Amino acid sequence: MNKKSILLAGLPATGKTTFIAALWYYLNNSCNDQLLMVNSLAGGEHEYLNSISRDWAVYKTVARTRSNNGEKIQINVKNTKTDQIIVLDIPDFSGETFKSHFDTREWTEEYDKLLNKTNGFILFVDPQDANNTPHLITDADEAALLFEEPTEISNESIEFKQYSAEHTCNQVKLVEELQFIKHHKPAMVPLKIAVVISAWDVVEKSSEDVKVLPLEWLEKSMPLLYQYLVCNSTDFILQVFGVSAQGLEYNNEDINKALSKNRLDNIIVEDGTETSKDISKPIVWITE
Amino acid sequence: MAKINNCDQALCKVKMDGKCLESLELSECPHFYFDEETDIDEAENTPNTTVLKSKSIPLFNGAELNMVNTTLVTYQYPCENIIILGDSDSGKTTFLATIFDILQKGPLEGIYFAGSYTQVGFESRCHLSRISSEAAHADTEKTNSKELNFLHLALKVKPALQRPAVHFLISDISGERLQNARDSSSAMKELTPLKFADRIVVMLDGNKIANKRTREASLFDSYTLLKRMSDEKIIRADCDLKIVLSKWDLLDKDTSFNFEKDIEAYFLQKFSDVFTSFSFARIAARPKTPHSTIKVAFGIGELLNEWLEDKPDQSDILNEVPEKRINERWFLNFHS
Repeated sequence: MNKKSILLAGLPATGKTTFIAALWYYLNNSCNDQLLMVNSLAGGEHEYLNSISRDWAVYKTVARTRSNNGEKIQINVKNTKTDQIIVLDIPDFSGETFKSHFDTREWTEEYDKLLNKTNGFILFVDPQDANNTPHLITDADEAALLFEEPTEISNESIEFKQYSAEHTCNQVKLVEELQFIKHHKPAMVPLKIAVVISAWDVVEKSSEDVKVLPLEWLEKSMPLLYQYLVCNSTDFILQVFGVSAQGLEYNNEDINKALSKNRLDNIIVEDGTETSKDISKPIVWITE
Repeated sequence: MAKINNCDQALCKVKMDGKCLESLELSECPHFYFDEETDIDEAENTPNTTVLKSKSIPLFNGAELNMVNTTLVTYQYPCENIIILGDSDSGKTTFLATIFDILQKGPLEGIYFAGSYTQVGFESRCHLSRISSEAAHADTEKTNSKELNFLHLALKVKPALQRPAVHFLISDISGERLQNARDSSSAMKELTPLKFADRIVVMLDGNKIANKRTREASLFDSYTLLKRMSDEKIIRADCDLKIVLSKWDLLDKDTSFNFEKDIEAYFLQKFSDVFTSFSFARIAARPKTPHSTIKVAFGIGELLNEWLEDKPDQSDILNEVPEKRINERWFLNFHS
């Protein structure tokens, strides 16, 4: 039996727990062409998984993880293509845990030990978060000039808020997390990084007729993280997925429409080559 | 309370053999710390690491690096050491901040961001250019530190993204400190570590050059600073010297100003027989003139591309024998 440890990383509210909830439901409701499925429930503690998965199945917002030590999740799965049995160790840390690494410049001994056995990262980003990149005053000034008469900028002293880590945008924090790993845990690299862009249905809707691919989204919308990963491809082996685990917005109209389908049919997974409902794809890619 | 040696450099074995990877006294090494049973009062004095709490592992702090802490980078990579000279408000820090601001929006003229040990240092310098600072217009906070500080930036150029990154350590020294050095030999001697610079950038304040009343005095100040540095052997004759005129947006429409005649000829006449490599550039990091045809980061991509050109494949350098690699570690050169 093979044991694989995968770390779900990401800042707060990026879709990590919803992903796990949908994954658990998916692995337990197998269909014929499913690559990964639950092998055995024997000996497992699944209260947390069952609870979040139940919420997901009834279109209820999955509660965010509060634990800084990670909800311990172990899933015994089988790869139907290779018949390999794998025990997946997927602790669900709160987004605040990762945020605090940048803010406080330390991580816990438990997290450090967990990294020693980690085989890959799933790095979650929320495409709707306005703080993914910085907002420059010069850009706003340029935009304003389209509508206003220009005024000379004075050199007088100005009022402003002092800098704190809160002001730093998400892409810098994610780059820092990867740099921490490269510097403090050099034995971990090369490391597989599956970047999961959550709420992919929203990205698809906003791009209208033009099909946008996950890697292109990353390049355009989180350019510093993209550049860092491309430049460090020998240390971080990258695959980008667009995933909508929730599948739809939780309003009455959309839920009523969705009820005519199987709950799993709402899932969207775009890996750059095809769109599917196989939410286990990032896991399969890391364990391959 | 028992004290356990530890180090934030992954390859250091101080925990096992008590010896510093850098061959420094433990109290001098910026990466050394006592592990979790440490007396907190003593650990507070350890630079570049976070004060320890129970069961926490300190991570590199991301702030600007002082001379000693540059080993965080120089131990691992050969570095290009770039010193930026210039008066207060000449645009030294804005130049650095703009590089990071622009890279956050995408590659800069084919230049890709490959990493930085000083992202927090960059972020604090970029802060006043961001809407979140609530500043009324983009600005840069003055550098007040008395230290000789450096920011680290690793860059690559497309299409050679498979080659190792070029690592830059770029100074951010307060204008006041440089002004003191221009006027005093003892203050200048404190800048001795700068003699290991690979490149020297002299930033001329475009605002002062644009004003005919302050132009000559500004040039004279830059001349005397360079002259004293050269005479006191603070900068080497074989370093790459670049005279950079900042805030070019204030001058590009000024028909009474001639860059070649007013700037280039001035410095060439005074220093062409002193420095072997001598060149000029014009930049406008953050143009203030509305509707200017000069855009944000004007000239900066060209300057960085020049620094990135013709770099040796650094993987070869890393494979060289350790004794030879030490020559790449300018802090140790200084330290010895």
